[in-house]
Amino acid sequence: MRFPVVYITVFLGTLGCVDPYQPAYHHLDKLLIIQGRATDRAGDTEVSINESTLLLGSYVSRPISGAVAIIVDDQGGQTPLMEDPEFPGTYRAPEVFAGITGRSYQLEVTLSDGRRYASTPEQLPTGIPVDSLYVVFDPENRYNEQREEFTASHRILVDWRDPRDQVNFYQWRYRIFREEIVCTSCDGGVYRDGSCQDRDSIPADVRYDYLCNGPCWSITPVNTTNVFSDELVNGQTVRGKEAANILFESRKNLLVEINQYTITSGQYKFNRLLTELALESGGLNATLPGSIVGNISNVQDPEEIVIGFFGASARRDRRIFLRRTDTEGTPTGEGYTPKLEPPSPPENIPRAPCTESLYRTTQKPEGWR
Amino acid sequence: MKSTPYYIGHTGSLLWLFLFLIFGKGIAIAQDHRLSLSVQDAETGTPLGLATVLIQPGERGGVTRTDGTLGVDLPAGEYEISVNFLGYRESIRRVTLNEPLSLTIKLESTATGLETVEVVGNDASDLLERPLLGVQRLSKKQLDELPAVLGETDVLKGLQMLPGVGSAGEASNGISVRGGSIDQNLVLLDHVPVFNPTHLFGLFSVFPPDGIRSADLYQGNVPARFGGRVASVLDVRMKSPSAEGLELQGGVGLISNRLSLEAPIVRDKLYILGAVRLGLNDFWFDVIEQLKDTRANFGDALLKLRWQAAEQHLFHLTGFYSRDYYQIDLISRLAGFTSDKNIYDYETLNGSLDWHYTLNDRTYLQTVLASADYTPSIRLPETGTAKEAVLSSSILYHSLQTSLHHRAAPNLQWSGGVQLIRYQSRPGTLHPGGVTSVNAVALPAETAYETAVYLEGEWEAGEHLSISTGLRYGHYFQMGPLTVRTYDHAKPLGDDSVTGQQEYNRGAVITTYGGWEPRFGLRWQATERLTLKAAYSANRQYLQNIFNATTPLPTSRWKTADQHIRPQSSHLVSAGVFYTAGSGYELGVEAYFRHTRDLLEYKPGAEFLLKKFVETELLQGEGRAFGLEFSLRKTAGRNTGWFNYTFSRVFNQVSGADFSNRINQGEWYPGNFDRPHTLNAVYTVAGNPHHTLSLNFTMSSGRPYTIPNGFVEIDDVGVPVFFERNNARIPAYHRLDFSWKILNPGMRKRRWTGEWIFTVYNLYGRKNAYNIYYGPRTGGYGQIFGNSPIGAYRISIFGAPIVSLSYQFKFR
Repeated sequence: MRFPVVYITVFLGTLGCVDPYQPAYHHLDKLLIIQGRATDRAGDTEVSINESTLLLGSYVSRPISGAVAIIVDDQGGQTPLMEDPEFPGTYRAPEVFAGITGRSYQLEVTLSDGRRYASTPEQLPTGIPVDSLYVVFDPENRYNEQREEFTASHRILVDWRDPRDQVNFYQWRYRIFREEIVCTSCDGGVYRDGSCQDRDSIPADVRYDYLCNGPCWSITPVNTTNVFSDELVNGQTVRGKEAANILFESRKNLLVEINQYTITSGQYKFNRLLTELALESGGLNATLPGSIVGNISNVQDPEEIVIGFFGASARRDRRIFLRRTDTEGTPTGEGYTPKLEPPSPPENIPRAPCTESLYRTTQKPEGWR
Repeated sequence: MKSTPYYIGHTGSLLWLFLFLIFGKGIAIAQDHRLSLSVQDAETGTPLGLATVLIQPGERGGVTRTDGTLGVDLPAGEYEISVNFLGYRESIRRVTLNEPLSLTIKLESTATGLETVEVVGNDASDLLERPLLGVQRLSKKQLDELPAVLGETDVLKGLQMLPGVGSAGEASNGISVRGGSIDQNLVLLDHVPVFNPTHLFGLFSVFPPDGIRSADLYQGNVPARFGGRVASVLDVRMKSPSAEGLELQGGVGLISNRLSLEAPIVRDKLYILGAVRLGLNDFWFDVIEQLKDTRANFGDALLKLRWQAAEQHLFHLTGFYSRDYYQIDLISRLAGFTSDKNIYDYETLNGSLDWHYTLNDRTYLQTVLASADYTPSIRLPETGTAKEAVLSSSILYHSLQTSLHHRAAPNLQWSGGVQLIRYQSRPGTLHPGGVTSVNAVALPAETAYETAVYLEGEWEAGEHLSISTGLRYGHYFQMGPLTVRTYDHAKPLGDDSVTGQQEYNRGAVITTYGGWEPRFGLRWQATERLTLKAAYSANRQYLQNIFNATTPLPTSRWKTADQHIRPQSSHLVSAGVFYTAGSGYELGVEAYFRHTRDLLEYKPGAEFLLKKFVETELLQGEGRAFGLEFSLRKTAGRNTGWFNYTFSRVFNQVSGADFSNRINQGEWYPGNFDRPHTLNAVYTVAGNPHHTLSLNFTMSSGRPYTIPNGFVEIDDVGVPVFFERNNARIPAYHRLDFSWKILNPGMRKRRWTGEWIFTVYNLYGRKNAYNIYYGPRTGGYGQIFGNSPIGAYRISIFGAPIVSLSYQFKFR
């Protein structure tokens, strides 16, 4: 747990100032990033493998395909992961795979060039459910530097009972379900026979939207490094912890699914460090930047720097319907009006299908009102 | 009251020794002539006691008695007599002595004539304490002449104009000496350590400006009576009150107001010095929207009594209190509750009793009992209730030190003593104060003792050679009750290498450390103007401030050495050449090298707040610091000042067993205070008796900071990645300050004299970077941030000219 030290900057606000500064890097080429987790929820176990590399003077993250990734448990059981054809570099466990509380899991990865990596084993903690979930509307939640004004958010807060007999660490992620009417868009062309087709008559910067051919909801997963330790609240009912923060950008209603993970102490420390590096390195007495040290290393060359953590966690979900139509104030976005292909004749304009995936569903989500 | 004259210098020949011993007994020799001096205030004729008299050739002299007289027997000849006294112009007289001579020397007060007066100790005992080598002294006069930020005279800011002394910037909670970290300096105020030496997060130091007599910074040959820090000792002394009547001093400024009083309670017996400073001027925050709910108050108070119980017994009792109180509107979440106000409350209560027992003309015993209690706390009122959780910690220090000082011969003085120190750190407590969603925490107190015996001596071995040497042996005991973890030492210390815990009861010794700390300095007077100096000093440090940042916060934890955290130790060698030219110019070049073992570094993301076992978050390594310091001073005349340039480097190395226990792959990397080039210049012009103009310029290489080795996206967050430490440098720092002092406009000697001080800090408004950090991009800066997914930001403090006007007065 760290207490915020930004206060000094706030305090000296009038005496000092913060100016943007050209970011400088001392680039190290070819950094391997392996990130993933085994969870007790079927369909939730995945690993991503990327390499940061210099490309034409810019630093880019390149997905690594063709690796062999296996989850090994403490009883010797092996679960091979399959690369997602749509998302290269992402490897998923079979839909049926679900980790078991108390068992340990580790990741083994062999790249196509023969380099081998392994994580240290992580024991899957007990899942802890959310007891209650509620929304607080904050009209001045964040200061937007560009707009030079405060913007409003819906903060979704959770209460839960922390077990007394164990040390617990938590992390929150969430998924946002939105009802969609546009299912595909084409730039400089039109949608025909299930795909966008170029048309010379349409300039490249003109985009046409195509309506869905039935009900459709998009699913936006939001991964955060929002973590919490029960160090000072062990055994208590924790109230009002923010699990999601949703910008008031439109009046459209949403369904929010909060995923409360219980994580290991190693994963907690790793995420804390990420948060610190990404968000909390400012201020006068800022923490000195440190290396991201995870639990994955090269088996053949322990000196190689590998960024990332493979953790084991338990997940419990709660959903809440966020009715924004009556929210007071003005949303930050103007609202998007679909630009449809000009009707000539109208009956020829096709509708697009809502293809079932991790990011879209035709089934009305549970909890949608 | 009669005081014994202390002789301040002598040549080394046997003849002179003989003469000296005889003078000490007060018996004159027939062939010599008596020179009787009487030193007085030129205007009032008041005798000036404790004025410093130097007679050349022969480096004879001493300090005057309280009736202003001094008698010296000298062989016939021509002599130059110079007399110095606090607040007066130096007087130099030439005399021919061929018969007994009585001479009255009238000193002119600087209230009517502005000439720089070097303030030296006005307490005779200090002349014996002062070592020959390795000390930089900043007098009250020099301090007053430096342009001060917002009009506040400041010891720590003033010291930064001396070679080898730096800081992290404006809001640095202390100083860095020769590249060391801030907690590697022992900061003493009248013998007692000050654990939080600044107000307002480092903007001002806590020492009450009016009561200060001197600030000595020992950065070379540290006297053996001091121990406990590896880089330096800053010994700030308050005036020993001795005013003949009521004297008041005070000032009104933008930030604070102050008043001090010096007076006799029982003439010749009991004197008092009291100084109070209050910074309650935060009402101007109300006009600034961003600060309208912010409160910032601070204050300090000092009380010093001087009691001459008998001719041989002199007591000084000092009490010092300092408090900072800040309230800031900031939403913070601690464990299960939210607070929308943060209240910071830091409190220091120090005290010392100094007993000076004069056994005879040449011997005295000094016993000092010292106590320091520093308690920082953060109060967090729960939003929507009247309840308040309090996070606090404390460090308690008690010391008993006694030493015998003896001047064995005119050219030899030595002292020896013992010191017992008790440290008690309460590293963290959380009182829920009725807040139900947080548990109470009380980390166990850590208790440790440090014992030391020491011997030090100063010997003028001949006409040319002086030796200042010392030896200190310190032994340290960490004591129970405490629960200590045991680790599998085949692995790096971490939560996963814990093998068990061991309980120690009260009084049980958990671990001990100890060692010799030799100190040695010599001075070779090659010619009348040229001096060569060399010094060696070894130091050990058993108490450290742990903070994973560039400079500590007032709330940073104090940690005593234990089974897993070894004490730091250092060796310093230095050598220099000094040349005194005519017309008050002094030139010096000094080189140094310091090696430090077991300095502290931090694992990535190290956190200490309310952590029971911190050893798993710390790393220990090695440090090397070296440098070359050039200085040029002009101390006499209407225009005075100094110029110094320092080339200095500091490198650290932490080479642990694996990646997470190494820094910078185990290679040497620049330390946080590595500033290769530093240039300071101070120029003071006393145009006429009413006006003093001062300019102060400082320029140094920017301190190192860390730029990322790239960035990655993890969990939708752009994260800068760092594998190196201190691989870049913030832009160079430079600043010009100006001050204009208008003194006693009526130019009449009155009981009340006032002066106006107009200062401009950062005259040309340079936005010096205090820190540069990486964080999420905020909109609108596309041109600056380019295609970097992460933004970079520069913080500067006082990035514009800061103008202030203050008034100060003296009444006597």
